[in-house]
Amino acid sequence: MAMTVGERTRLRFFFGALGCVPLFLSGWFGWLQVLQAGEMKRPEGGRVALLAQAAEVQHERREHLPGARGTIVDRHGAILAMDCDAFEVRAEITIPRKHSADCKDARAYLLGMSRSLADALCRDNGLADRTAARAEHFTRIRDRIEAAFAWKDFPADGPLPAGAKRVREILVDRGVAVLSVIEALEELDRDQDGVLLHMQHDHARVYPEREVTYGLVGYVEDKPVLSPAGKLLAYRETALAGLEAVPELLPGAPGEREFHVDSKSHRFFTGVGRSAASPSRVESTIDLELQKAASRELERQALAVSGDAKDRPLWGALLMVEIATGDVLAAASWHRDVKHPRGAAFTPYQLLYEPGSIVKPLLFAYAREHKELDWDRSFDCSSTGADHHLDVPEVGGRRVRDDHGCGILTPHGILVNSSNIGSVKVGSLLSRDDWRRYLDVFGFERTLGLQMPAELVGYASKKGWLPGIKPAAFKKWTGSSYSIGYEHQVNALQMARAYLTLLNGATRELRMVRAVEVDGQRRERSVVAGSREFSPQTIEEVCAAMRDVLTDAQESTGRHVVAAFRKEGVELQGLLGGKTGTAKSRTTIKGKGTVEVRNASFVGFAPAEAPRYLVVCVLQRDDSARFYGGSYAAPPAVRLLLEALRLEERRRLGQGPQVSATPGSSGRSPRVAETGQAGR
Amino acid sequence: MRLHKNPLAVLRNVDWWLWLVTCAICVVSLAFLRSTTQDDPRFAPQFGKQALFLVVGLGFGLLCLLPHYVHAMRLAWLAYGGAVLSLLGLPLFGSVINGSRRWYSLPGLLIQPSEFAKLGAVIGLAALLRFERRASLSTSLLLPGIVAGIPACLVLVQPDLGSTLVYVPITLAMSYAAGARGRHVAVLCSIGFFAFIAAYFSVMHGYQKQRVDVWAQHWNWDENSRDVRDLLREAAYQPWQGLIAMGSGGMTGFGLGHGPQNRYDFLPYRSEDYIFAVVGEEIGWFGSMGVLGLYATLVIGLLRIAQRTRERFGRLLCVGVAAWIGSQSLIHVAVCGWLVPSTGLPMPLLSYGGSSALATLLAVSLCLNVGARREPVLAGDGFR
Repeated sequence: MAMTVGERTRLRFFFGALGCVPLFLSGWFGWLQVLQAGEMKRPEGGRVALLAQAAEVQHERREHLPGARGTIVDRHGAILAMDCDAFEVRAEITIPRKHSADCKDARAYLLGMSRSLADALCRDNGLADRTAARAEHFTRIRDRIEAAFAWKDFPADGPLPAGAKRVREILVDRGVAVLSVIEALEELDRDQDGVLLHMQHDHARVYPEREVTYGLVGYVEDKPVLSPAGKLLAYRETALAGLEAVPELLPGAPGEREFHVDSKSHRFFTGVGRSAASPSRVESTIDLELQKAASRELERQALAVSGDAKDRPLWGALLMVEIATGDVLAAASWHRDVKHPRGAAFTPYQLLYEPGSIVKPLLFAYAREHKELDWDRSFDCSSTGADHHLDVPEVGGRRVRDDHGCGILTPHGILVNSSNIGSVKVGSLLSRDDWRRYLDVFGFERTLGLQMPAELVGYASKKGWLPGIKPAAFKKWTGSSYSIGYEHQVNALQMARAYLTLLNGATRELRMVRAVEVDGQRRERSVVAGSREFSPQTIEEVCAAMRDVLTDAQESTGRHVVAAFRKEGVELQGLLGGKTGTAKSRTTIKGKGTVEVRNASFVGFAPAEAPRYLVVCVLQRDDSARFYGGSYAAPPAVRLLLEALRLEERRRLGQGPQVSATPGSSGRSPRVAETGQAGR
Repeated sequence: MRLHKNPLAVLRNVDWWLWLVTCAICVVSLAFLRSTTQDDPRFAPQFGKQALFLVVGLGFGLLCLLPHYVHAMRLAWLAYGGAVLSLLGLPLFGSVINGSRRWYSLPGLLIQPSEFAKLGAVIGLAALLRFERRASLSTSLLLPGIVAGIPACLVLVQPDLGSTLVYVPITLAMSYAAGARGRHVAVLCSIGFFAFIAAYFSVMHGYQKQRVDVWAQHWNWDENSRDVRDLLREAAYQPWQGLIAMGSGGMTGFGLGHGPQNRYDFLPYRSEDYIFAVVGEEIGWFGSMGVLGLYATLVIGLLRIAQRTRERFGRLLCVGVAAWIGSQSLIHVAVCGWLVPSTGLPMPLLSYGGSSALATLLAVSLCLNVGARREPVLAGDGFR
């Protein structure tokens, strides 16, 4: 059967028809792969990038390696704050096809996913309360999933509504640093259908000695950065308190690393990349052992004031300074009404108080040096003296008086007795200009310059300095108030700086940072010393008086603390020097209005003959009960001084920095890390 | 019709160039199977299995050259009936994989009867149409439509829409080559088009509709919009990744085994449904055209055999096999370029699939057998 012409034609037509298709396809692919060189225009649509890079975009990733925030160490190298590697975990969740047929099923699937993620985040053996942490994680993740999938819009049952999204990405957690949690998340990523976890490099700030260094070392928070129109642009890590505000701690240049991922986001690293800049290192002046002791002693004293919580002091501050360098060795803060130290004022420099009698040695030193106060001159300090009405005016509507009859006293005796009348008489030797200089020399109105945020700088009452106030009126009112530590407010560190100046004989500044190491370059922060203000003789005379405050003599204001320590077997007489202070003033308390408060304060130094350590303690109580510096502020300060001497001796002998255990310690954890993990 | 006395003598007339082209396609297939499966332990056995099937298929094909193809003609209805029966047995004995019941599960391997059913349908149609020189609508189109429609419907219910579609060009090509009128074919094509639209609204499964929808929408897409980005992660993911693979290949491609879409597992089922996209990605436009050229050579070779064959069964058999291989390849290639909705249709011989490889090699062998028995075309044949 031969082929007919028609059959031949048909076959040729078939040939041709079939041949046209591959020709068209050749042209299409030529256009797609070659002529368009990868960019295919679509009518009314965007451009579809089909360059070779289009495929690379899918599998090539550039990982941003954020620079770590700097490390803060104490003066012996113990870490106070550091960044540790962590991950920010994001989950791409897909409702599988088999669960998307029914809303009820889909909702159950998403709830199960929330539970699985929460369980993975709780796979941390260090969690104090795993149940609570799981509940917290579950609630947070469920809310995010609910918002992402618009879950509330789902009907009770039946198929998913048109337009319902089956794939969504949510933020699971930040600062995930615990290995077991990371492994649990990886396991979930590997085994569970419908979830793809993306783990991006991040850092978690860790404070190994968090409880004792809260306000001192401070903390950082992510603060929103808004555009002028109020739109959220980004979050910026901001230091809100403490040493964290040192500018050198800011993270260095970020690094970058390239890697490949497959469709399941499994990673294939292709090179080393560029590392982030190594974190800076801030060597603080803090001595961690002394800081622990300060925190412990301050809390112990505050709790010992009264068994009833509402009768305890409102707040307290205890700090220690090395006299030779001005290094702040410890600075502890205590609050009565604050549930968590985060956000609470750090009392050593964020709360002000009227110092009371502890300014008297400063006044006397100034008067001795600049107004040639004769140290052997006698002052009539009796409340009933003939000239009493002439020299001792009323202050704050009340006549200045002493707790006990003092009689005729030399300046030394006035300090030991802490005679207000005597101090006012000495203060009357100073003119208005002298008082201005006095405030300048001791820095009572000057910032500490420690680069720490939210410092409250002390100030003197403006009333006495108004142009219309005559010098005599100034002397009568403001000068008299200043003489006994009223009408001007200071913070505890300012008071420490003032005594630092006195004990060094020259204006000095405190130091919280000894050195900063950036990019391997270590830079020392120099000790700031100003002009000489006090002669050694003046210093010695004032120190001698302060030494005699801590004796068991009947007239000394520190006799109670001397007696208390003698019972414990410690003889303070000749070992320490100090000055007690008690001030009664008014302050505004939220919810209570203006109330009367008492400030019990103490300033001390050790050793008595050649001071190396200076300590300042202040406790404020919001009632008018008897609350004196000698009885309440002195004991923790004295204990801290003794601890410093003991520690110094131990270190000298090479026995390591052991702080003696003291009964009544608050049971603080020796190592409490604060990370982003809930439940910690 | 003259039968050779010495069965080996026929090998002298075999179109060995066409055989070599087939072997070349098999080699390309193994190269790309190696490339697509080497990094994934789940799919690594595919290379060995496919190599075995190709070797067995080529060997069996050589054996099939020895007996005269007239035996195939005699056994045509048996082959057709066997194919239909094997499809009918699937609901009872078949295994469900990925929601479809397409395979018989035997120890160590899966047999897909729909691949052999195509060969059975081609043989059956050739046997039916060999007498219909001046056919009416009923005998040239409707009857063949029923013969092809039975296995096609059985394949459709598996469900396997892609394989079902291949029966359409096979039937039309064979009927047209057998003498069906052009206008009848055109009318039937029009009816088929409307039937497809009707099927879209009534018969198609949700996922099949979604494939058609995203294909129809994607021409106007702005992939920066959130809705489109969502679709690209769901229904449009596979064709989109195929398009990226094709488009990113450029002139010469990334090199065998180095295509990122392949290597990093962005293209699902790439060893089966999207192997040509891997070809485009890894050896570029030149390579793709080379592979398309091999297929064109094979199909043209088969059609040339048909043209030279005076005997109608053999001629129609060659046309059917050419239409099968040609149309299935073109649909596969068009899917990879997202010119048509994704269908899940493998590329004959190139994609992984033992049943497909065996059936295709058997069909090519039958055509070579037909070619080897051709008689010289006489000048007067066209002027009878």
